[in-house]
Amino acid sequence: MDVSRRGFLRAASMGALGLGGAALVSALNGCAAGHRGTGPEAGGRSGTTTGRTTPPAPDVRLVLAASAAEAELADFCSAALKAQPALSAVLQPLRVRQREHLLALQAAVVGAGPSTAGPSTPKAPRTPTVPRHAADVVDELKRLLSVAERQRFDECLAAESGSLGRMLASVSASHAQSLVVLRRSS
Amino acid sequence: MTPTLKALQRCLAAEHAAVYGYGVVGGVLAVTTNQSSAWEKLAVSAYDAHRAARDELVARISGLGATPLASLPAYGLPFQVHTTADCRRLARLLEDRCAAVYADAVADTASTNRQFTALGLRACAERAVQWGGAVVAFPGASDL
Repeated sequence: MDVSRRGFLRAASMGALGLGGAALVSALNGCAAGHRGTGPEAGGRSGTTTGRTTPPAPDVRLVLAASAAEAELADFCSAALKAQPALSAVLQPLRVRQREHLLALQAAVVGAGPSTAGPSTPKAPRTPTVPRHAADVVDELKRLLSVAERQRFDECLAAESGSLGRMLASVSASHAQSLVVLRRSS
Repeated sequence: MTPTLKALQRCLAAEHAAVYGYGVVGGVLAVTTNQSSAWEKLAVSAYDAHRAARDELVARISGLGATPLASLPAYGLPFQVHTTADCRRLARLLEDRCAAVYADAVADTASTNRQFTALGLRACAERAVQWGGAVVAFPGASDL
């Protein structure tokens, strides 16, 4: 049967509009509700995400790299906010999300211990370079977010722990969302 | 059934529901907006993307030697959809729910299946924002 997409959409609508209840949401929820990973697929991956378990050592290194990169992005947001207060509508919520990302990543390595978590000496404060013009700040922000989005995605694929993979995939998706908004507004 | 297969079947069930839901969205937008409206274009694009994801999931599940879940004949809607605003709300809901399913599936998959589910999460998260949803720190993983 050759049905145009528009016609199909309309036909599907006619069939569905009369139905009540929450079956559509149930169908979607049935997939996600109460499920946060049940186990490994291969290679000893752990899938528990309801509780934060200590990740294996290779994953700790991934988390530390991700944390450093997310902290740099947060630092850029803070420096850009000072230099370009007019961009606060963009930068302020982004900085808040960066802090949430950092907190979650830090929580992922709680209990990993100093031997796996790396040196405890604090790094020197970063002083990110902020472009002088607002448009250039936004361009730089888009560049940094694109890099972060790709890096978190690659780290997600490399993670042994399923729960860490989920977190990194979600952080990457958050950056992708930010890019949608920035590209739309510029 | 392996965790991977369970995860992919859950994704497929979500995609079946999303395809159905976008049928509703597209049908209502066809009546309430111009054919060339940005919302309708977005609905068609999203509908195509979910159909493609559904087909890819069917192929992956079949490749694992299992029978892909079939879609239901119809799905009840969480609320009545009559206006463009209703359509946008339903579309955001569909994308948010699918994002959650894909995020969970990331935890239970590896290799190319993890790549596929992570890409699915990202695509749903982006579309949720395109429909007017807020940018969030953890798309699909609000428990974090």
